[in-house]
Amino acid sequence: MRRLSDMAGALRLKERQKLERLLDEFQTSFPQLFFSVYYGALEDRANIRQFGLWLLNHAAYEDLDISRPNDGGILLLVDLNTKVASISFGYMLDSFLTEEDTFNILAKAHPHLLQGNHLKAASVIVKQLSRVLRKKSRRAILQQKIFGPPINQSSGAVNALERIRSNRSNRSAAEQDNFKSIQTTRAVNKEKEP
Amino acid sequence: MKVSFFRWLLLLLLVSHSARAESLPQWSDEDRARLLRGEIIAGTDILVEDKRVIASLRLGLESEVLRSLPPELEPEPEYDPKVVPSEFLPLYFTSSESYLIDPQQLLSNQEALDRLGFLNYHADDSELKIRMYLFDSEQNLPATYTIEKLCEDHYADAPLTAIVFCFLGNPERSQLAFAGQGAADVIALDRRKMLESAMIKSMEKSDPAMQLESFIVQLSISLYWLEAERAETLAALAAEGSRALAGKAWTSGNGAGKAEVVPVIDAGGLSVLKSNMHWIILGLLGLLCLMAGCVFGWVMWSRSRRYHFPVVETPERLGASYAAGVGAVIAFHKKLGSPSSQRNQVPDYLKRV
Repeated sequence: MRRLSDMAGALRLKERQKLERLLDEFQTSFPQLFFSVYYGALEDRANIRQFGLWLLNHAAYEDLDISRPNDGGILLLVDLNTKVASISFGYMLDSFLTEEDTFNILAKAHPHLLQGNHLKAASVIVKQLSRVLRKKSRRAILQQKIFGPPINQSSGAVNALERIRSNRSNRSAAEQDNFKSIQTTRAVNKEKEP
Repeated sequence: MKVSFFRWLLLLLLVSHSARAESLPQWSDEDRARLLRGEIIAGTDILVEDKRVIASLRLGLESEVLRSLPPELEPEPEYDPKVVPSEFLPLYFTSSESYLIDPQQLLSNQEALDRLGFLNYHADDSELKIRMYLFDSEQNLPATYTIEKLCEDHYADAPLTAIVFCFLGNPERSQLAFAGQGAADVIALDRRKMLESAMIKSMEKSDPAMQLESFIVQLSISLYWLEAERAETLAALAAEGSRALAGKAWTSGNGAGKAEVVPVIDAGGLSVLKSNMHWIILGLLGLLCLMAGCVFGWVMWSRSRRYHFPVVETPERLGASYAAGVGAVIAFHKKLGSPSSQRNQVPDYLKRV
């Protein structure tokens, strides 16, 4: 599939060209990321969140470099059947984008979506998203300069787990004695049981 | 009958003789003159019987009393309201430092101070001074004393001054003339207009002092505008002169550095601004271009700027290899459903529960 997939025929040819130019500009500003738009008419029972998640994980974009994996993808999904729009994003932006950010961005485009002006809505979303990402990028780079490279979340989780475990061992001697006494009484009780 | 007639005639003659004999003594002309001069005191002969005392009294009178009497005053000439007393004329027609010339003291002290105060204030504020000469309402000046003569005699070398002859209580007779340097530049029409406006303004008041005040105020206003007009004209002339000099220096080629700068005499800030208007416009345009260039540069720089994100490895969730971050969902099927009402969304599986 392509970055801009207009399955529902929401855009005209010129509008599509304009939107593609916008997507190019976005990619120029963010060399690790890409923005994808999908206009479709989904079934009533379909869940747009699940569909967005599935599409971003399974889509193979033919007009994108291999240097941009789907991890750095942002997908705008517009269902013209149920009139719902949603944003999904890859793992790379997990730490930088929140649901609130994306909701605020979609809210800015809401009036244009109501009017059926999908090009305007998409361009507003791209611009607002660029603004938010620019801020986040600057902050992340600054934090990296101050605090050093980020710790991987996987290792971070393990470390956190270790810390929790170690905390147990670091409990006070009285607590540990208390804990031991409880355990011994339990063992004694177990032995006493027939 | 005859006897009684003679008797009556005799009686009449006797009565008339006695009446003649008892009449008061008459002053001779010489005595009357001496009495008027105070050389004799009436009744001394009757009151003092001793002749020596009378003689000594007369001597004393002559030496003390008569000598202490004031000399005979010349009768004052009658005041003619239509003529300026001759003793004041030289006081009018001499050069004076004061802006209010009132030798006859027609104004009261306070009024004179008030008017003089305003004239001083005007003189501080303006380069065109006012000299005010005060006369009574009906007074006429001799033919040899005219406002033109005063201007020529006393203000020919002075800076431009407005000379005003004011006739107290009769503003219609007021006269205005300009004396000093540049007086010829003030056209008669302007002068007449100024005088008329001041006269009209003063005639609105009934009190002579108030009339004078209104006259001065209005004249001061008119002079302000005249001064502004003159400054503008002078500035234009100066600018033209400097341009001509610059052109001359340019054509001569080597005299560019020697071109004299013509000072702008009496030019206000506005005239300077006008003469340098093209430089100001050029400066503003330059500033605008610089600002536009800065904005354009900033836009280009921000467009060309690249934003990177630190790569953070996150564990896979929901079995998704690329993305598990699901953002917000917004519905746009209901026009009444505002985005704020959709902010706190509950996932579908929770709704089912």
